[in-house]
Amino acid sequence: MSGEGGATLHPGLRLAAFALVAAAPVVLVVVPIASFVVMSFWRVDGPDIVPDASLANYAGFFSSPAYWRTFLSTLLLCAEVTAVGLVVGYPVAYFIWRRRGRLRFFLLLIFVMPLFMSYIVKIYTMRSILGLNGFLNQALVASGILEAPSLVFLYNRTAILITMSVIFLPFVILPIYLSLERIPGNLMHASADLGAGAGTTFRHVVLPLSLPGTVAGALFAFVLALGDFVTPQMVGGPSGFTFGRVIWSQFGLAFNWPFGAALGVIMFAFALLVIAAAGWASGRQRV
Amino acid sequence: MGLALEAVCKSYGQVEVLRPVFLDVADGEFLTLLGPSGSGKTTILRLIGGFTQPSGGRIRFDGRDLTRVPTNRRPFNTVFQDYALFPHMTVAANIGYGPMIRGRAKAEIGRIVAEALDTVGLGHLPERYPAELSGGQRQRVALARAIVCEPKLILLDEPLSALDSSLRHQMQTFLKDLQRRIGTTFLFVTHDQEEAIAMSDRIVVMNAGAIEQIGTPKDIYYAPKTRFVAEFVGDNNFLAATIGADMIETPLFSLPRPAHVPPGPRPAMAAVRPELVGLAAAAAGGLAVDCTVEEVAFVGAVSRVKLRPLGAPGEVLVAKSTSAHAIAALVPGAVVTASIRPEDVAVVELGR
Repeated sequence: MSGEGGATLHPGLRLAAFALVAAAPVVLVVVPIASFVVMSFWRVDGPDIVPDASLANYAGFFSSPAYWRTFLSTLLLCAEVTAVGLVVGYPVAYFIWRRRGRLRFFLLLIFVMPLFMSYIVKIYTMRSILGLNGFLNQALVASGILEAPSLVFLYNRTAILITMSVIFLPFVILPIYLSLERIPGNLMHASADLGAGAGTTFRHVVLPLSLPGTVAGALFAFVLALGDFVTPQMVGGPSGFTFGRVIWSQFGLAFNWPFGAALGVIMFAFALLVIAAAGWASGRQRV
Repeated sequence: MGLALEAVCKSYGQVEVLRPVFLDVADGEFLTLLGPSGSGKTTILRLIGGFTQPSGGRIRFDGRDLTRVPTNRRPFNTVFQDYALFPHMTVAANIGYGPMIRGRAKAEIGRIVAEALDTVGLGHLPERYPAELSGGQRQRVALARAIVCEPKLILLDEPLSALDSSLRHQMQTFLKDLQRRIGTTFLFVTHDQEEAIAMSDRIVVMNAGAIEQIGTPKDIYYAPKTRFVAEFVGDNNFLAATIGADMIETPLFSLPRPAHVPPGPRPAMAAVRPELVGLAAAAAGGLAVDCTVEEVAFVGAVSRVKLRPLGAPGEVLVAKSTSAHAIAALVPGAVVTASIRPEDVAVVELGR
């Protein structure tokens, strides 16, 4: 220890402390991703996984239309989930934001409550709602809209869309709400003071200022949907084959881990691309 | 014509923040609402702007009832305390917001904005964002934004309180000049009595949700009607007084009852401004009070002299003098004669 007092750490000790703090992200984030990327260059030889430096796995993806078609249709599905999330989530966030006092926090709590529940429970709940004897069919039959329970709500692509939209909705609502709440109340007064009606104020003040939160919410929905393979597995049925399921099948069924890793890297790279694009879009907005 | 508040009041639940208020504001007037925080002055401004709804009463402008008219349809514009500039818009877009909403052509908006920027002396900054401006510059943008819509009335909510003192004095002069130049009615809220006196045509002194006094700065300063006004605006020497049939008695002097004070007997207060307490030879007809000098405090241009009247050691009389020569002779313990002109004694009724 130096003579300057007990609060000053020895340079070596400080370095050790820094290393300890820096080690956490390296061990927890960088190493798993790196090992993943490394494995994507390996190959399978019979029952064995053999280290290699081959691009064959990537070539396999790009040369096979079945894979990249699934990839593109999954991107479309994720975009749809994002769109539904925004169309439903923004008005909900806006509605909560316009309430006053306790009601506001009560509503917010209700809408983010699903975040505290198990993911699997939520999926089974959605399954029981969408199923043949599910709540949705019962309600539609009881109200006379359908004559008999329908199978169209479960085990197809639409079921994935509905389930993901519902499950990821809180992730969309929360950032939008937070960005709305950060808008100083005086700005709305100033807008009205300068002659703007509610709609004009929304278009010129509220919407632009809540855009960063909206982009963040959209990003959450998109990236979560992209990575999700459990929901497609549970409610997708044979027609709801998504890229997440393809990756899962490479690890779980085909036992081709290197190829699965390559597909994972492709998805990861695309997610990074989307995040960067969103960051750029909201960075152009001055707030 | 102009603006008229008729028994306008505001309560939040059981809390009455504004008692029924009557106020007329003439066209082209610079009227200041002066009072401590919580006195209801900002509430009045918010009610006129339409940001809150009154619990009772009517707000009229040029005879038209505006009480239930929404903010965006009132012919007023506001300069907010924190300026409320749109952070995602440039200075030019902020100022052009009002004209844009009114559907003006792009070229016309550009001309209006350029003109307003020149008026407030910011012609070189149209493309800046509010975050890139100093406090004084934001203030000017807020002002420009409020004047471009050519409102009938501009509401200013403590717009200078965030500025440092030299900038504040500069802006006071600027605001007053601007108001004279454009001739728009200014309704100005402040808790700074010097600011109010320096800028206003008339001052409304407020306290505890009610109007204490309305008058010109001179009225308010020299003829306070209530003890609150006498205490809040400037320094004062207070003396317990008794209003008799013909005379007003205080522990230090007696003076003939002025004609505007109704005859007593009743208790009241006499207030004398320290700068009106003379320390040179007593003027003819002045009230003379022999005192010992207790303390002399030099505070720059003026000196404060604390005097202990010989005849009433329980009282204190404070005098202010700008004369360095007169002060030089005053050392603690010296005996001087303080002189007060009877017309400088303000008689304050106790009342409420």
